[in-house]
Amino acid sequence: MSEPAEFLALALVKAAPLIFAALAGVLCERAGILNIALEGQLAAGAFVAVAAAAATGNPLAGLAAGVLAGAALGGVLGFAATRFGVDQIVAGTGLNLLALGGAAFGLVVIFGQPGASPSVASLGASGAHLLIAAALASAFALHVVLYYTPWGLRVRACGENPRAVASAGLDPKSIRLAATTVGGALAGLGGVYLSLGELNLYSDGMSAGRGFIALAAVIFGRWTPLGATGAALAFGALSALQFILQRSGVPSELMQALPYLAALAALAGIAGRARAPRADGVPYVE
Amino acid sequence: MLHRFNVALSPGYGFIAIAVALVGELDPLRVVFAAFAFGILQSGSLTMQALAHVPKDVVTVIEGLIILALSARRFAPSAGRLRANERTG
Repeated sequence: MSEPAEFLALALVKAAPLIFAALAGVLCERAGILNIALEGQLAAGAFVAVAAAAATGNPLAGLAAGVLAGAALGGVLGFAATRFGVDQIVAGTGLNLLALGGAAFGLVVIFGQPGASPSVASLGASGAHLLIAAALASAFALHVVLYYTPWGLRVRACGENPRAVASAGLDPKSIRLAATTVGGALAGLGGVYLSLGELNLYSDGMSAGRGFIALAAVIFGRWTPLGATGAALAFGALSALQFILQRSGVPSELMQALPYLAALAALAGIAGRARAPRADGVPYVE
Repeated sequence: MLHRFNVALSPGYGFIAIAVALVGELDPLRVVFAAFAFGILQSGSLTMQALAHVPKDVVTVIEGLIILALSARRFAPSAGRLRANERTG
């Protein structure tokens, strides 16, 4: 492959898990739930997918299990946030520890070895390509769902003014719970891509802060599916650039800091105003 | 403590610290106790692994569960509610 084509391909490969996680972040935050457990949902999806693929020998069963694991974690966050009105940052931090620690523990219990799992049946190169296509398709699908369907309108209303949703006779809590569950499933799919798409194993710390970079992408993309996807693609291109510039001596740490600098710049009002949904992270109490 | 800097010197301490601060109810004195409790868990995990062959990651899971359970306390001055109060005046 020529160098520019190689760069673009690598950028897409690096962006795909970020896109899944960023879309999950957009959906949850537009519904008014701050999901900082994206990192844990990626790790849970990645680990459970490998465990299920190892148990059944079928990577598709792994994919389904990974998506379910992400959805379950998202559901727990949604349930805690709607039923108990928890502080979503604290609950998210707890869920992150739970998922990352649980995966590390599971490696020892299931595979009998710390650090990384043995190789399992993966989705292969074609599976990874399909998942990359699915990431881009999900971006457009979420855009259509959020802006052109009644459910999307309700989700956005829950993120701005849940009381108005309640006075329209709908239940903002169940809408928020559904949004975090679907969001968790998306992030879980991103995890499946990491473990069974790009590779064929789970290793500790494999999510590598992507959940937090995805949160930066949500902000930089101004809480819209297409904006966040654009930001995730840009951050994917940055990490592809990192590989290419390694030889030229540009410190890779500078590149790793750039997504967060971009999010700060967006928050500081550079190139238009960034405003979070008004009820983002605010528990709804009747 | 080590007289040198190492990039992996802080293995997620900053993140646990957010939770510790809120478990300590944002009260400087109580935060010290919360941090001490988490410190006990962390240092005990290594001994547990060495003596009982229980993977030390169990402690991370337990910390996660504690934080998740405590996050539901309604009296905790949550950042979200503070923001909500500002808005409603």
